[in-house]
Amino acid sequence: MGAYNCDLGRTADNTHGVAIYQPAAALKRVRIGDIIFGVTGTPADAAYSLAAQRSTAAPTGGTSVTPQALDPADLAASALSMDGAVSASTLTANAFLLNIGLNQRSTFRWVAREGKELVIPGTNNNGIHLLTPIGTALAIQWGAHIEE
Amino acid sequence: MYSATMRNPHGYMVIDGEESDTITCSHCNCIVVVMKDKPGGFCIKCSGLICDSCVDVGKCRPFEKWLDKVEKNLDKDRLFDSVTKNV
Repeated sequence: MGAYNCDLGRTADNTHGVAIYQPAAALKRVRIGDIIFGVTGTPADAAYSLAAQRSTAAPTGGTSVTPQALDPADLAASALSMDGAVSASTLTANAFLLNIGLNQRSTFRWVAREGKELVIPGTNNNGIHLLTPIGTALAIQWGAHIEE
Repeated sequence: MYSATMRNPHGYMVIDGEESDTITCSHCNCIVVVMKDKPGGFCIKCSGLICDSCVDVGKCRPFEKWLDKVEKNLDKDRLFDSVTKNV
């Protein structure tokens, strides 16, 4: 099982998020075990929300980012990731895996114990999108560690 | 249940340096922050910690089974493709 880092970001626009997803021919399950999230713009003392939501179709409109192997000896990741993806049309209704209100000045990190990660099924184009559905549009940076 | 969760959390969440334990729901895979007054639920059928929404559902629907089902449907699609597209 290889471990990879997805270094993802988004400019100041709430209609865009980031996504980690399976390719058109999924090979194996993908597990997200570490998410770190913070504002890289100019945060105010105000609220916004952070959400992780399942999707069943590949995201569009963003820039593809290749997950980087933490161990350079590992093979390339089969999973894909995308910066600034337009996600709204592909999301699975109510399939939130995380939905939390935060202050814009907070940095957020979630780490899973082994075996308790968020899992993307080995199904074509399925994925998990990281979004900020409520709040002022700010430039945001995400980091996620995946295993597959 | 709360004390069991505290001894064996599924992960943790850090916001501004403050750490909270989390559980990953055994039925829907969502992340839940463990709070003293809101410890979540426990499924006696699969012995898994579950979120409030899954407690309301009232049925045991293990996440692993859901994964298998979703992936099985894919296999059916592949089989269908192999028949119709002669792959």
